[in-house]
Amino acid sequence: MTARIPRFPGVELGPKDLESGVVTTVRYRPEAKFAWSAGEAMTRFLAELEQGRLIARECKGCDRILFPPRMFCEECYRPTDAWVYVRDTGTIETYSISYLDTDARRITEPILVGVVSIDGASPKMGMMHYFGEMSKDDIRIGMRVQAKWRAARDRTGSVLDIEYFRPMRGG
Amino acid sequence: MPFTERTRDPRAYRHWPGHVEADYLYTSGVAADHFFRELRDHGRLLGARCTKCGRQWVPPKLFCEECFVEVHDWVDLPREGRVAATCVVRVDPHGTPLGTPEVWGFIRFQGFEGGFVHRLLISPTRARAGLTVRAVLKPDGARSGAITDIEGFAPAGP
Amino acid sequence: MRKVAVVGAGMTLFRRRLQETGKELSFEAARMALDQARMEIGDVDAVIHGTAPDAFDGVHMKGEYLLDGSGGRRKPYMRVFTGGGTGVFSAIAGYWHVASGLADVALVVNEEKMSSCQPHPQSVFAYIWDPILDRPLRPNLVWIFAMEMNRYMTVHGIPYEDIARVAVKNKRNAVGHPCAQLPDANITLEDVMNSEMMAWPVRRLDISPPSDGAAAVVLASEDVVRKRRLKDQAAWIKGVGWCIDSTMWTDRDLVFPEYVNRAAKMAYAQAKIDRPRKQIDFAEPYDPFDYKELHHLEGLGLAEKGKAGLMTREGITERDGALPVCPSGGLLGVGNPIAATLGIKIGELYWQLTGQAGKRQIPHEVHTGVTQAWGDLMQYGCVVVMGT
Repeated sequence: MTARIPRFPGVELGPKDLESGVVTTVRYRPEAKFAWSAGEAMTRFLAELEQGRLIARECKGCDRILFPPRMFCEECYRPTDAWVYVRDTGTIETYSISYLDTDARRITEPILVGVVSIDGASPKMGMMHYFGEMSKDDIRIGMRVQAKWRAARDRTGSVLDIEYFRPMRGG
Repeated sequence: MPFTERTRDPRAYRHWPGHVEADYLYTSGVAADHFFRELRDHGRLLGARCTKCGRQWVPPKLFCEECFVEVHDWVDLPREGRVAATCVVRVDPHGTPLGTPEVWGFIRFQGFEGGFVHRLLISPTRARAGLTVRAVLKPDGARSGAITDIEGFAPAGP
Repeated sequence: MRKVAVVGAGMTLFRRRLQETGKELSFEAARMALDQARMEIGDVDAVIHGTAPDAFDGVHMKGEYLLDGSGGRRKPYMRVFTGGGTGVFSAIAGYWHVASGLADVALVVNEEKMSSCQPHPQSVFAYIWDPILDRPLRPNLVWIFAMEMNRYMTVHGIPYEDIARVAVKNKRNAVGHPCAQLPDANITLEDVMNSEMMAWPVRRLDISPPSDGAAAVVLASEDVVRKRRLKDQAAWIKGVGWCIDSTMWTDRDLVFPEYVNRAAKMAYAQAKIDRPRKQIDFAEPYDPFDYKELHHLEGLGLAEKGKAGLMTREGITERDGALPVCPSGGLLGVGNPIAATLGIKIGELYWQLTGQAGKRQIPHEVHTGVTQAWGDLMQYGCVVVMGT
């Protein structure tokens, strides 16, 4: 078939064609505002962040400490059992050195971002965050890091109450 | 005890506000591009006719929904259409009351499948199905090639 | 379960911007597939539509919006959606219809029109992230793939050039594809390795382009194939599998796609494949990024863990190699209109197995192929094995 059909359907447009009126178009910008419920686990998690602490949930079914916390265990498919504080230190599992911002705009000063597995939680359980006080040449998988908290008065109960993770001193 | 049974007061939970931002530019497509150009440049309203089954579609389509074959015959719409259903709108999309209520209708054309949902340029008291109407277009030069080039439909004749 | 064959396939051009509406693209692809199957819409018992997030086309309830262009009017019709996995998953959903006996002929149509989203579809990708845990960090979608690629490279010690070779191979393979958006006969390893750094280790040419496009396949029961004398143009679905891993992606080790492996085992069990490397002749794994082809070959059991890059370096996965991989040119070469990649995954297996792939035809005889797609938050895999 592909050899026998000389022309496949589709009218290609250039980057300027949409703007210049070569073809008729319509613009639309939706207005959509939301209030997402944080639910039981995230409400407590955010409240603890405001206090400068990380919290997890324990599942007695599989003996794991689940972080970020959740009220049910996907593995055992039962409610989790107890709140457990975990540490604000951990290990870089992976990272990227990004020259793109959130809107895919080019930036010259790269963002260091990655996943930190948190000490005290079960292996590999962690969160995404930024890295700071290190250069793109220092960062590596396996690096030990610690949360750099914002000053208590600046915290709002958000993952941004941690400014970034920085190299662990003496560790 | 499942955790949901322990949820005594949902207001105790945090809510995380957010705004979904997106910006779109839609092409009218191959069939509707012809339709909108004719409307913009010549003030004409067109439908498409399926050569296989003879069905006529408005707004025009690239394909016949019935036969699922490509459609490329163009036909003029009759000058007059008929209101199939009406609706009087008293609030805007945010729920704010409108100073003057708007009348909207579904307008069909004899011999054509489909039709237009559009403004009826009449007072709410006159809104009724069965009314014969005619398209009122924006003046030449003011049309952009969009459905809003039709200002609305007004009663035809006396 | 009844035997199910693909008896026709069609696809539109894959381009950054197409004038057609999503409905029109769906129609064009579906019409081509029906023409090849020598069928009319009245011969179709059920229609399955696959399309990715509504936010790309900018139309809510895209399944309902696209149904007339897909030939779904007044028929049993459904939309399926498994993120990037939709490109193969919709064919699995079509398979259920025919294998179960509920339909004799099913039409599967996939569409994506990403150019509606301005200035770049990237902007709405932000809304796939968890609003509380991830989104306040203002993540870019490329980040997660960069993180996965870094973990995969670092744990296995894979040199970047072994990954970049995949982009070279696929963009060269795409030269034979009449719908391809980014074919490049002259691309070199240096071109990929020196292309703009997006989010280390991901460079611009490691990424497939966003595209508009549509694709369709016609599935038929064994009876229909016999009665309509379609045997010479039929390729049979031998096994299907699908699996999803946890959404808590920061709790998973990204080094191995466990979900793809489980989906592959499910499909292989049905297809009676116990030594995939020996029994499978060619593969069309999902390659939105070059490292993903390697990652998926390992998940599919076609390469040992950490060794798929080596196979690429040795030329085993070239079109004329021992295990051709992405002979279509893949997403990297043909384009990435998410769900419409059906045309370069299921479609390519079909055209290759029935000897209709033209310039892309694998030079040696092939009897069994596997394809796979990947989606959602790096967590979903679906696999289809097809044979002659």
